[in-house]
Amino acid sequence: MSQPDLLPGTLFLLILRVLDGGPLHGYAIAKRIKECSAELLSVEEGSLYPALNRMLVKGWVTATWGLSETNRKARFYELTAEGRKQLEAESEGFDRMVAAIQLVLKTA
Amino acid sequence: MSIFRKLAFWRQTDFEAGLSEEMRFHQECRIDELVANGLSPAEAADQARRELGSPLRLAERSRDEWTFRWLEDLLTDLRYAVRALARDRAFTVTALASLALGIGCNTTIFSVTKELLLSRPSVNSPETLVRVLPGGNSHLEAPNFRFLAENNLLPHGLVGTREDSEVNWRHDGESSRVMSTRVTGNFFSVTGVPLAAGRGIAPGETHTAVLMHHFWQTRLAGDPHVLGRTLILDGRPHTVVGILPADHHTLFGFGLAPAFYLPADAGTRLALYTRIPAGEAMPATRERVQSALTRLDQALPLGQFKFSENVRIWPIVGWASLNQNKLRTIGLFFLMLLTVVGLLLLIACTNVANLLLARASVRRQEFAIRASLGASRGRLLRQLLTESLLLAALGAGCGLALNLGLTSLLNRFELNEPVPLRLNIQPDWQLLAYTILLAVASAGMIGLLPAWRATRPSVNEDLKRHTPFNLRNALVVGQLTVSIIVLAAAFLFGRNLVESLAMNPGFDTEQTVWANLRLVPENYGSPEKYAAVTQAALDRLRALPGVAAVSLTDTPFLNDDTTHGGPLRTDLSPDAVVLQRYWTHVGPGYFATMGIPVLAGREFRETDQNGVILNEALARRLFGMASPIGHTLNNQPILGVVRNSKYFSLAEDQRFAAFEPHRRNTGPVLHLMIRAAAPPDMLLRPIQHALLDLDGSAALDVRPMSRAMTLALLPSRAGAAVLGSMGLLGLMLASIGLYGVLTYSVARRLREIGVRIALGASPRQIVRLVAADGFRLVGTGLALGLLAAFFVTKPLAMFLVPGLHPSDPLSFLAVTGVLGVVGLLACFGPTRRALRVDPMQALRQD
Repeated sequence: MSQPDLLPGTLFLLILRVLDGGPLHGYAIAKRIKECSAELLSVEEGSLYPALNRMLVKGWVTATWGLSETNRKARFYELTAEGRKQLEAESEGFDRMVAAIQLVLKTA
Repeated sequence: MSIFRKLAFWRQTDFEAGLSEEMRFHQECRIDELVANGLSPAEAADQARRELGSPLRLAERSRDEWTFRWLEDLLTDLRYAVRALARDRAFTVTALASLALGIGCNTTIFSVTKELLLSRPSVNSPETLVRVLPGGNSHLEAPNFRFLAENNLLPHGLVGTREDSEVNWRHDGESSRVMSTRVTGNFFSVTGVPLAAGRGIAPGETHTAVLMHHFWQTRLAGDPHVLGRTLILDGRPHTVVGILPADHHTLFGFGLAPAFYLPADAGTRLALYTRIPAGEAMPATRERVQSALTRLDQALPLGQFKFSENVRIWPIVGWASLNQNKLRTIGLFFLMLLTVVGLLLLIACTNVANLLLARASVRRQEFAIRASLGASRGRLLRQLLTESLLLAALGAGCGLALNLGLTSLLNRFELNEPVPLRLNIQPDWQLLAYTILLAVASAGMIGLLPAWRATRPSVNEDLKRHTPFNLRNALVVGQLTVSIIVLAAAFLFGRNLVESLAMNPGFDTEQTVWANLRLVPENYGSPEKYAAVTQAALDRLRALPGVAAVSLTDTPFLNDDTTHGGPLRTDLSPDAVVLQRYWTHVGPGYFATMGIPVLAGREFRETDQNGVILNEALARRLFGMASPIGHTLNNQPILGVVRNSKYFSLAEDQRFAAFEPHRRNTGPVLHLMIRAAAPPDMLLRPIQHALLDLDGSAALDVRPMSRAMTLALLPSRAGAAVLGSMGLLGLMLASIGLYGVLTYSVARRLREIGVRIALGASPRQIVRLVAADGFRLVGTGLALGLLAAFFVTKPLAMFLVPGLHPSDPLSFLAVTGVLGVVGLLACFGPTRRALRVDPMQALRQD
């Protein structure tokens, strides 16, 4: 089964949601998205790191260097208050959008 | 917000190192996972690397989030632009010179205008200080001023100044006439004039002086111990108590530069200034002033005249302070200068735009390559605009340097007669802002059009068509049109100067000498003594060989002005006529001395104690065609009518004038007019000796009237000099533009010309081919320019001497001639080049 393309603009939402559970490093974020989506969604490094940097610029996350579970130096990303607010706004918007699309698909 | 975060981020981390470390960590995690899934470590490493893709590209994309992409692009563009400009040196020098001249001239006129017309007086909050003209008079007699001051009728600060009060300064055994400004004792405290050293004049002081910086520097050699030093002024010691800073601007403005400030004495006529209290509106001030002057009218009545009538109140800063009849012309003159230099800049920018257009078509290969490599049109546009912006910025920098050079030259110029004026132009933020504004405007003018053209998607297609009308030709025609307007104005002012120099002012300037004697008051003291020395001076001069006649006046022609506006009553009608007229006292035989014909009646004799002489214009106005002789004016018998002449400026036309007899001189200032039978230059020394023999302590100036015309000719000279150089500059720029366009068009048609020559075209046909293009451009520009100039120069009439009209055919003819010649010269080079085309070579070119 081929992997579906990520809906545009949803990558931020997914990262925000994953980070809501606590700070994670980049690799863990990608892995978590893959696991949670039952291997359906895979985030490529080519889009993950630019996205994380963009979120740093926007102030939704902060990054600190720490040690990973394998005792290697890794960068951990953590949600800020602003990021949490963004998550709420985006997931709400996403829900409404999905509901609307489904409504169209069912009734039209 | 994000900008700060970006900057903060850059500061705290070594971004590159962090990024590669993060990538490494990511890869290692992936390898661990793949090994756990059963791959060999080597295979796992390979696969992880494959998955991750190019680390460079990833790093770059992540970095994009953090850097100011546009800033980096800008830096690249700038680097590229510098290289491009350095490569094409001829182009860069021409373009920079054009822009520097255009911007330099603009900012210089701007600086001069600002300094001369709009400089802020050096006082505390000048906005709240106003000039008051009681009864419309410029000055108030001392007793009237004292009444206002002593009764505290204008309680928020009432200051009196006399801006041009002459004194004798005695130093090293000789006397010089110097101009001082006299002020009331409260002047320095009310105005808050800042001092460089010492203190201001204190209330009640009578013999103190505050020096202007330039006087201290030039006349007292910048003596560091000048405070406390004594100056002998009008024979009395005055103590120097303060020095003003170099950038001091007087309340009067216009670059007035007296030598020092002195306390006003009991007899000084004063100009009035008063403060407006915070929050008071102009109508309320007017009302307050009005009621104070009404009190003055009641306390010290002056017959018909009322101080509380025709009261005028002027602000002393800003455009509003210029909104007076006399000054409006000066303001408009500077507005015209600003317009002309603006046009000049337009010509210069057109030149550069044209050069850029030519360059852009040469560079179209470069753009094609860059476009095919993936540069977007916007990116190329930005590149080209950066180039023009750089060019404009460099041009503005050179222009600013030109401005500083020119203004420091102007600062050195000083006018001493009849009042001392000097400019003190200092660069300030307004100059900088104006320069930046001009640079941005120029960048837009020179860059937008060529950039748009050069990056047009189908440049080639456009270039293949050879249409008679194209953008570059249109620009040249526009440039010629504008330069004709500037040139026409320049010619008009040149003609104006010639006319002024040759103008007969209505009196004789060739055979007359003006001796200005200022006596030291305390040597005389009583009016009788003044009268005696005056008579002695007249007698001595009359006894000199070569002197035909000597007389006296209050107001030497073209050097000082006196205007009266009181009612005039003749015996013909009970109604008074109110008109402004020149009004002065002259001695017996004055009109014969000055060479002014007496048209009817006679002139004053020694015995005349009263009576009045009118000029033609006033006689005609009051009596029409009838002879006024035997009638009276304000109960004075009219003794004669004299021919009109110029009284204060050459621009005045048919001004009314009335003369009264100079009965007896009772003051320290003598203006002796001498008619020479011999050439006046031979008489200067004998006159000097004769007068200094009489009183060696007096300050004396003797010069022929022909050399006392500095002030009268100043407007014509300044106008001709400024506009003449602008016209020349405009012409030069326009001919460079024309030459460039023609040369370029020949270069583009080399092949065509080669084919024509190979097919047997005669040199004459080739000349016609090339020159026809040039003539068409010159002809079109000339036609449009003359038409525009005809209308645009109309308002210039107000600056020209009477009798010279802006539509003066001679100047238009001259403009046509000059431009025709310049056009021919500009065509000459390119045509020669076309004739030298070797057909074989031209055809072999790709």
